[in-house]
Amino acid sequence: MTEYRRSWLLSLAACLALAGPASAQTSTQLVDRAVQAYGDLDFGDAVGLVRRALAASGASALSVEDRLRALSYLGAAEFYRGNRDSVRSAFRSLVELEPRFQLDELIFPPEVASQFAIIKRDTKIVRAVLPPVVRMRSGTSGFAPQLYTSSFHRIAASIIRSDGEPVRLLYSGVIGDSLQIVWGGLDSAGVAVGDGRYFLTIESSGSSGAPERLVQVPLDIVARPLDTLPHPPPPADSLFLPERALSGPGFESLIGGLAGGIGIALLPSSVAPGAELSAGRLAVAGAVTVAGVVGFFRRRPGRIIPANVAVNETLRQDWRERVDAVVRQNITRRNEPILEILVGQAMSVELLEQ
Amino acid sequence: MRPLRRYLVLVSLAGCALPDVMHGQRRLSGTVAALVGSATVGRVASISSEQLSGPLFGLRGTLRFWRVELIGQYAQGNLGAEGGSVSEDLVEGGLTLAVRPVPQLSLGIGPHARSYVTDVSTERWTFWEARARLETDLVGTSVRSSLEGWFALSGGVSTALPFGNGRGIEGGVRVRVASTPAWVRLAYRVDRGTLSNDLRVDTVEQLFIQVGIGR
Repeated sequence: MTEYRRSWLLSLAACLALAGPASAQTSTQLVDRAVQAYGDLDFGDAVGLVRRALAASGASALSVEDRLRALSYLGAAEFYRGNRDSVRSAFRSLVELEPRFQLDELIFPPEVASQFAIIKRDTKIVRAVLPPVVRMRSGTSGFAPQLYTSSFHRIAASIIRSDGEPVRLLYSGVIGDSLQIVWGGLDSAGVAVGDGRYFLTIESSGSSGAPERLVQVPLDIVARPLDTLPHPPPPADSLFLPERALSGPGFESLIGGLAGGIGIALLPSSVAPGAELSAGRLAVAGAVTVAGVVGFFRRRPGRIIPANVAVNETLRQDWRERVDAVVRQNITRRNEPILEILVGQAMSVELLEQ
Repeated sequence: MRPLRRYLVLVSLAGCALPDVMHGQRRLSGTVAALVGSATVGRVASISSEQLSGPLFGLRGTLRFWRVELIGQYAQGNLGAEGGSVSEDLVEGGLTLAVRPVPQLSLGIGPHARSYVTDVSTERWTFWEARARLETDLVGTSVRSSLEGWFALSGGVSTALPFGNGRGIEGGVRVRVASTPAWVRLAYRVDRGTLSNDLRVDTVEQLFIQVGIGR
């Protein structure tokens, strides 16, 4: 009895685990059966099978490739059933899913392909291709979505805040097949944007110039400022020259002048004792003494030494310039943080004419 | 004894110069200057005395290599007594080899000759002198004073009497002309030569101005 219950529970668990894949396979199989029905010219069955396959959701939903295949056959089947609106609806869905999709002309007859081309031409839509996460430094061109379009038309690509306030217009002009736009993470004033939710919006205009469709890609931005650089240390005191004269040089001049003067005045008497020496020596002694006194006042203690002041000022100026350079670098670093942009699922909205 | 003293002085001077030969700047420089001034000779003998004076002209030059200097000088003048009864020429020249152990001090040695020339005779005094010279800047490097003293290691006189001794002193102040290598120097010099036992004492005073060029 126990063995029977265990087997029953295992079988139930296996059925539950296989339920998802089995449903997905069923959706794909429905598309395969619809293709077969289309080949058998049983367009009614084909339409029914495709709609059942497209209606599947969750784990059993069709892949993008299968959806493209399903919508192609749906539009073609409706074409042969004469349902013009359904044809238009199917092919528009096809273009919205993949704007650059081309109907295989080896499979579908020219009248179907022609109808698809007309609808594709009239459906103005852009798809933005972006990696799920973008990391970039503000001011660089790291955020560069590639835009693909269904047909030649005019677009306006912008970044807006979550409250709808425009941040920066990225591009306004025509798009033929594809186009790459770039955004440096700055607003229209050149200032880095802060954290928050933003949207990349691409507005497509019709041939009349009126906006027809809006594609919005949500962007969750986290700004991380770069570390600031430390200021360079001021020059060491040992590098500065004394800006005021010390007591040494001035007193050296005074002492040298006085000693020289006294020596010239008195020593000749010891060299030539008893001689009547001329007063010329006193003139020379006086000149030496006066020169010493002048030298003392020229190099008096505390006197400002202009040459040393100039050297020190150059040293200080050089340091101030290096500090200013670091300050400018830090301002740049604060204004150009590292941005981490999480790219969400794009939404396409058809705009109704007022 | 005297040759030994001269040898010792020369060896000492070479010893002072040697460190600079090893590390100093090997650049030749020099000065040359014209000299003009007045000279007074006071001559006192055992039984008489006289005083002669007159103008003096001359040249002085210096060659400097590392801290070694070679100084040469020549001067001459016509001296006369106040009454004009006696007249003679004073001619003197000298050569000094010196070293500067420090920038402010110069030590040297060399010969010095002085002649008194009259119409009928020439009396020549020769000295081997040791010199010491102190220099210091007074106003920047533009005004510099100097004080130099010397004494005779040996000497001779062209008279019958033997040489006694000799010594002298010179002091002056040099002013460099701004932004040029030219300079002007005012100096006073006195030296005395004696014969043995002070039988005769000659005192020569010179007050002169030098105008020179060079550093």
